[in-house]
This record gives sequence, C-alpha cells and structure tokens, in this order.
Amino acid sequence: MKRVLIYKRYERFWHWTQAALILLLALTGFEVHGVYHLFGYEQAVLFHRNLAWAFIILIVFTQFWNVTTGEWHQYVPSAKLLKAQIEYYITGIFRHAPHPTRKTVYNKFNPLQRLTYLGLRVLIIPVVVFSGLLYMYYIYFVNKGVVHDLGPIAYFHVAGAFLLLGFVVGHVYLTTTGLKPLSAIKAMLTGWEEMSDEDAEIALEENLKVALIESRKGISGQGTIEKEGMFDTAFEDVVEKLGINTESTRLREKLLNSNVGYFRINKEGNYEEVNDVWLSFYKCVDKKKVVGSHVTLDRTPEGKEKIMALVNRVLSGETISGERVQRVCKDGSIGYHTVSAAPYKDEDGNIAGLEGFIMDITPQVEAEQALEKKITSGHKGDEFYKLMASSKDVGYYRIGKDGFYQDVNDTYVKLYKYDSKDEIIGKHYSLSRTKEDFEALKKSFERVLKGETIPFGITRRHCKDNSIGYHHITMTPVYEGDKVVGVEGFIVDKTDKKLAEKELKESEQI
Amino acid sequence: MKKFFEIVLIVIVPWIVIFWIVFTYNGDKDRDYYSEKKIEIKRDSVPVDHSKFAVLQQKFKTPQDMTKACLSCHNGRGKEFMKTPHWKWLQRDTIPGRGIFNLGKRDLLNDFCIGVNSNEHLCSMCHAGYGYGDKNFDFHNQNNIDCVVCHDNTGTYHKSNPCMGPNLPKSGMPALGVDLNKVAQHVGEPRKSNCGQCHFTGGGGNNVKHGDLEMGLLHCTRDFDVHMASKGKDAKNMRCQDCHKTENHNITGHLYTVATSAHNRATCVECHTDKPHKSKLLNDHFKTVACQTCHISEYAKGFHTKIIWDWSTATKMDKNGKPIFDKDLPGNTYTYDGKTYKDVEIQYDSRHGTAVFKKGVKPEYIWFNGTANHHLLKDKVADTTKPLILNPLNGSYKDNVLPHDPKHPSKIWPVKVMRGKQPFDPVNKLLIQPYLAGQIKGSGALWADFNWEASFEHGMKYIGLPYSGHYTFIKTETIWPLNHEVSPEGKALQCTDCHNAQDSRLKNLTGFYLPGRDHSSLLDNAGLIFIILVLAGVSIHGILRIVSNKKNN
Repeated sequence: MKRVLIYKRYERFWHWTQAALILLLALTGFEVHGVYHLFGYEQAVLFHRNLAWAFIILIVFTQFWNVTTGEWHQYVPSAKLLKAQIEYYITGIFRHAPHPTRKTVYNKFNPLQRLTYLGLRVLIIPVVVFSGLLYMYYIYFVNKGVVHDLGPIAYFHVAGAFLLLGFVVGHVYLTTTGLKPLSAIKAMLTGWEEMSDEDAEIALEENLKVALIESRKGISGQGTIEKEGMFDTAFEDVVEKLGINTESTRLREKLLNSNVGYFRINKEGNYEEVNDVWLSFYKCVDKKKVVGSHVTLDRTPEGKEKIMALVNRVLSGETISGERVQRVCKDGSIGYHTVSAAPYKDEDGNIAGLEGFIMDITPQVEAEQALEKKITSGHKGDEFYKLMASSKDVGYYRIGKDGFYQDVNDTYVKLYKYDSKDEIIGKHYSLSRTKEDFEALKKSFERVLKGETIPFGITRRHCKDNSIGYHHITMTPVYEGDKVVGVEGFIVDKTDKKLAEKELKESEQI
Repeated sequence: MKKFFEIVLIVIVPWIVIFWIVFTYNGDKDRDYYSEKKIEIKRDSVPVDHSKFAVLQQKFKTPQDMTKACLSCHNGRGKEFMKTPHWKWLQRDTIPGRGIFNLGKRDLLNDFCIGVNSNEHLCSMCHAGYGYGDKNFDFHNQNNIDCVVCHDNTGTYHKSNPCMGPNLPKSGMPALGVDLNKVAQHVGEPRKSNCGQCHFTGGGGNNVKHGDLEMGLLHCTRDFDVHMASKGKDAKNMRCQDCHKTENHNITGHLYTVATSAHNRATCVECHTDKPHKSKLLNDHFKTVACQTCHISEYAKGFHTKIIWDWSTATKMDKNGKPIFDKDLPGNTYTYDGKTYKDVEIQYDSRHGTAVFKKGVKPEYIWFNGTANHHLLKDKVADTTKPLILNPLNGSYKDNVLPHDPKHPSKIWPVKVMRGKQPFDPVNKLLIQPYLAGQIKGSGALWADFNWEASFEHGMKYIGLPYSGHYTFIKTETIWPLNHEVSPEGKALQCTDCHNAQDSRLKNLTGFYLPGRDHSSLLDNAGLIFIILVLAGVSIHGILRIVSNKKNN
C-alpha cells in the first residue's frame, strides 16, 4: 500500500467547507420547510440565508479557481470507461475486480463521477441556488407582475434539496469503495490517497509525467510560464500543483516513499540518499553500498561523461528534466531512465548538491535500439523480432504494402483490447484508427512506404470496444531486397488521454 | 503532526471562521429601522379651570341647559360636532362597486342586538346626545349634544340605563343623581373611561361586542395592552385620542362594522412607521401582514367576549312559564355550525336566546384590503345555505400580488368573527328588524311580550319594509378587525405560530404558498421515497460487499 497525492489544498478546503455548508443548509432548510423544530424558525431562516451566501461565495471562488487552474477539465464528461465504471459498481466490486480507472492528480474523477459532478454543477446546484435567490427576494418582485406565487419557486428549491441530499448519501457511501473503507475520506482530508502499490505506481508516474511535460514547456518557452526564471518557476509550478512543498518538506520526503526513483547527490557527486524504487531500478538491495558512492560508478564510459555533464549543469544552478540516461545495474545489465534534477541549497543559500527523480524507460529504449540496430544492419538479424515477440511493454506490428496486417504481438493485441491475434491479422490497418485519425496514419504509412522512418510520434488508437487509447509509435519500412514491402514498428502505451494529448503536441514540435 | 496541522488549517480553521460568521452575522438589519423610542406623544394642554366660570355656576335644570352653557363659550363646536358619526350615527362612505351611502348604526344590522331602529330609546344610552328616542329625533338641535359624556373628568357622569328599572330616564338622558354642575365645572380632554363607557360595553356589557375593548384596559399592564398600560414598568398610559387623533371633533378611526373605506384612519404606521423592527425580514412582512396580526395574538384578555349569539332560542320560558334571565348553562363546549368551541361560557336568556362567551380568544385571520361591503336593510338574501356575512371585508391574496389600489393591497388581518342566528323573512328574503327594547306588555316589544311575530311586525313597519308574517333564523356573521390589546414584543406571535405545518394560525387562508406551512405532498413524498431508495440502495450494495468480502476470504 502506498500513498499518492491527489487533492490540492484548495480543493480540500473547498470540499469540506462545501460539505459542511450543504449539510447545514439541509438542516436549516428542512426546518424552514416545517419538518422539525431545531434552531427556531427565525434563526433557521437567518442561518439558512447566511449559509446560502457563504455557499454562493464559495461557488464563485471555486469556479474562478477551476477556470484559472484549468481544473475544470476534470469535470468534462467522458464516455470512456463510463460503462466499465458502472459495471464495476454493479458487479465488479463484488468480485474484487480492479477499479477500471485510476485516480491521479490530473484525473481525479472516474467517468461516473465526472458525469455526476457535472450534473450537480450545471443542473442541481444552479436550480437550488437560483430558486433560493428567487425565494429570498420573492417579496420584492411579487407584485411586479412576474411571479404571483411562491409555490413553484419553493417546489423547485425543495426538489433540488432532495436531490442534493440523495447525492450526499450516495457520495458518502461511495467513499467507502476505496482501497480501505476510509481511504477516500482520509485522502480528502490529507490530500494523499491510499492505493495498492500497483495503482500508486501508475498514479504517481502519471502525476510526475505531467509535471515533467509542464516543466519542459516552461523551459522551451511554450508554456504559460515566462522565460525569466525558466525552470525554477516551471518546476515550482509543477510541484506546487502536485502539492509538493519544496521549501518545507523537500521533494525527497515525498519521493522516498513513492514509486519514482529518488536520489540526492552532494557537491562532490556522491550519493547521499536514494529510495527503494531507485534501488529497484538499479537492481540493488543494499542502500548502504550506494550511499557514499560516486554518481559515475554505475555508468558505461559514455554514460559517465553524460552524467557528469548533467551533474555539473545542475550544480551550476540549472535544473534539468527528462534527460535520458543510461545506467548499469548491479547485475551488469543496462537500463535506461529519464532524470530530472534540481539543485538544493544549504541554509546559507549555497548550492549543496542536487536531487531529483528518475523514471524507467528501459523497454522503450531497448525497442528503439533494437529497431535502430535492425535498420543499421540492413534489416538483418532477428534480435528486434525476438524482443518484440516477448515484450510485455511494447506492442509490435507489421503491415503489408497493401495495408493489411501481417503480424502483431500479444502486447499489441492487448493494447487494442482484442482477444487474439487472429482478429487483427489479415485486416486492413484502418481498423486501428477512428475515421478522423485515419488520414494522418495513411499519410505516415505512405511516407514510410517511400522508405522514410518515423522514429517517434504519438497517436490515437481505436480499440475494439470503440474506446480510444494513446501510444508512442515508431514506423519503419520493411524491405525485401531493395523494395519496400510493408511497414513495421512498435508502440508504447500512454494510458492517459490528457497526457497523451500534451505529449502529442510535444512530439509534433520535435 | 504536520499533516494534522495542515488538516486543521485547511478544514477546521475555515469551518470555525465561516461558521462563526454564518452563525453570528446578522444580515437582517433594516437601515431605516425606526425605534419606538423616537416616538413622541404630543398632547394639548388645557390651561383653563372650568370651575371658575360664572356660566357654570348656575344650577342646571336639564342637561340641555348645561350644553347651552358649554356652547356659549365653545361656539361653533356644536355645529362641528353635529357632523360627526358620534352624533349622526351615520357617515357618508363608499362601498366599492356599489356607490356612496350614508352608513352607520342608525340603519345597519348586526348580529348582536340586530338593529337600532325602534329600539332607540335604549340604544341611545350610547348616543352623544339627549333624547334620541325614536327616528324623529331632531339631529339639528345642538342643545341636545351630550358634551360631558366625553369630557367629564370627574368620573361621576353616566347615562341612564332604562333596562335597570321601569321609571328610569331613557333616550340617552343622564342617570338620576348626577351632579351636572360638578361635572360641568370639571371638564377636560376625554379620558379612557369616557370613551370606555360606550366602547367597552357595547352589546350590553363589558367586552361583549368588540372583544379587544374592555374595562380591563383602564388598569392594565403592558402585556395586556402596550399602549394603554397604566400598571407596571414602562406603562405609557396612553389615552384613546393619542392614537385616534382628533381635530374639530373629527375622531380618526372607525370600525368596519359600520365603515367601508380606508379614509380617516388611525393606523400603527403613523407613529411606528412601516419599519418598526430592527429585522428587515420582519419589516418585509408588512407587505402582506398587518401589524395587528402578530401583535394581537389574543383578545378578550381580561373578560369574556360574546362569540356566538343564537336568537332562535329566545322566548322560551321556564317550567313555570316565567322568562329566564341571564342563566348560565352547564358545560364549557358549544357546537355551532359544525365547529366545536371549547372553554366557553354559555348563557341563556329568554329575551336574547343563547349566548356563548369566551375569554383569551385566538383571532381568526382574513385577507383584507381596507374596504368593506355591507348588508343593507333592503338587501335581499339570495343564498341562505351559507352564513350571511353582514359586513364582508374585501381582500384576497391575489389582491396583494396584483393590487387594484397599490396603496392598499390586501394584508392578513386578525379579526373577531361574531356568529349568530338572527331572524329572517324567507318570503321577502329580508333580514328582520325586530322591536326588542320595551317594558310595557302588549307593546309588541320582544322583551316584554316574548312574541316574535309582534316584534317583527312592529320593527319592520317602523323601518317601512314589508314583513310576510313568516320568519326563520339564518346564520350570520360579522367581522370585527382587531386593533386593541396589542401585545408587547415578547408576547407577539412567533414565526412558527403561522409558519407551521401542523397547526398554523393561518391554516384557513389558502391559495398561496406559506413557507413552513405549505408543502406539496407529492413532492415531499417523492423526495422521501427517493432518499429511502438511495439509502436502501447503498445499504444493499454495502451488505453485498461485506458478504462477498467474507466469501472471498
């Protein structure tokens, strides 16, 4: 079990304030409705009015926050996995099936939640608020010739109240469906949600990926962040969004318990601290052996140069992100990861070292290398195909000149949500795209048929169940002699739509 | 620990701050609040000692001599007074939709002693004049004005009640034994007791008629009446004319049992403005609710008032064939027109029939826009299945939201509803004016002969209307808007007296939505079922989860 940051401070403030407001509004409101006597009618009315204004002010603030932070995206309904989510609550949950969706800071809500919250925001709350305002000021326009009876206004208000109350009941119940019954409530209080290791890894990875993309944008000046101050600002912005307070807690505390490899290196280039995930990437068991060793220890000769260059850049005050580096694991195998790092300062403000995090990209790099090797070797040797056949992370495909699938691997089948290879092989590649996306793929396909290699790109796939997925795609021609007879390559899945869109933009720019 | 502080900071502190504001901030202050402390009661002083005037030293043989003496100095006042309803028992008033009429006690019927005509010699003991014994009274002779009934400050003047003995003066003459000189030498502005002589005892006794005007007001605490209180803390001891502002003997205020329109009124807002509460919410109530509605939570606080008068049982005799006078009947509940009245006193009198009295009565409530209709003598009764309302007060909720007269939209008013059964001629469809007051047997007076036919024949002939010889008794009502026995702040109605689903004071006023009182059963039931379904749904889901968990384990 791990914990992942999901809810930001404002959200938590807003949520609990709103929760208390809604409950007290219901409590005072139903007294005004004549259901019971509690505060006394006059007090109930006055409290209800004050609570209503507090509620309205909170709504205005929160909508402002939603718009300015872009959080409103999270309320955009999505049909993707909606059915799966409903099915999960109806049947899956009893079979202990995994949650069909994962919570991340950039995608907090499952499709059902998106739909429900949107309904609340655009329908129920406006009805209650608007009818409430009419109710409050009814006396001032009653004989102005518009409305002659409070009845209909009151009925709308009461109906809205019942719906809200029903929502609260369902909402509170559904909080118990997290990893543990109280996980969701704890998360809403602390911001950190308890998840299974697996979910937590994915969630944190997604969170950090977005953080990196955002920061990259900042560096290249394409983001909203001004060039002045560059990465510092960008990075702070990102960690801020993640809820990581670099000033007080240091990145390390958060990452030490996370599934992202964390490291801290002193001015001399010696490791001061690494986390378990880092150790697992390096296939180390004993942390003591790592702490104190030099950063160049686990590198290939070329790797040494590159890593020292990066370390020096950071020690000179720069911040790096998403740099691709090589590592030599304890068992001698070579792995790849991206590294992001920033200098950390001592109490006097002098740079005392650097710290950062790493994310593994070995399967992708291996696939890239194998493909490259295949290309450079004149399309001889079957190392690439071996890798493709067995890879659990990378999907392989080969499409004939005529556009019909000739081969795919199991991962490819899985990513497209088919049940077996036979459902794909022999079919035209148009099945892999929606109508809108097909033209783009067709163009790429034709380019590759002319001999070009498209080494990197992000694209949308059309899965069997009509859902949409995103992946990196690499496309190379298949030669038979000098003639191009087809297209092959691999895909690496990018699960999250929003992330993919952003990376898609990135890749277009590259 | 840090986490804990973060939660405190993000959740608990905002809660405390917001709810402290929500539960202490009073957004309901009316900026135009007009404190009652700002109200000044202005009174004219009378710097004259009447006992020194030579003209008042003469021995008055008749009360008219005394009036002459008054008018010898207060010249012009007689003509002035003779224009007022206290003298004429009539006033010109407009009945909306019907026209302008001379309306007043003289020719309107009620469901107490029914009507003045043919009974003047008794009724005029409350006429501010001398000698009003029949319809031929000269209303133009100013010497017949009874000045002192209002202006006596000795408390010794009162008019003769001819019912008290066969040879007593009648027709509004002073009672035997009144020292007119003493009275004349000690005149001044009217006191409560002057007005009260008639206005507290109308209908034949203390508080019988109005219900909110009784002798108790002469010596009461603020709880009884905030204005007239003379006992206890903050007693203002106000006089009638402090509110019923008077100029040239024109006294403001006249009840809708004789009036029909909203002119020449004494109103609360004249002193209190329409923003008398600190709370804007309460002041907003004035758009639809009269001050009286909340502030007269109960009337007949001190003494029983008559609420039902059934004339149809009159003329019954006891076993010995003798008339019964003022006999208290056993029991304290009375059922009338399908409704049971509790905690009442019931009296029987062969002269009057059955009367029901009640003390501490909760008012009934109506929509009222300040205008009224009246059943006139010649009006025919079309529908005898429902009680006939003798003075229907106009108004409705619709009249409030779509006012015909924006200055006088309908408001909810507290009223005393007087119910009764009174004689009716089913052939001519006319209410009957009976001849009641008389002590000479064979005169036809009901109270002498106990014979309805003779009484009716005499009465109807007197007013010049036909009588078929057939009679029955029909149910009638009069509506008495309440204005007195105003409760102080603490004794006024509270929100839930009206905003209450179970027992709202306004439960009989329908056709509009009143928060707290009204709800749509359909909506509420649907809402309740919805909540129950949600609860049931999550319970079943939760149980299934627990069960499946156990199975899997």
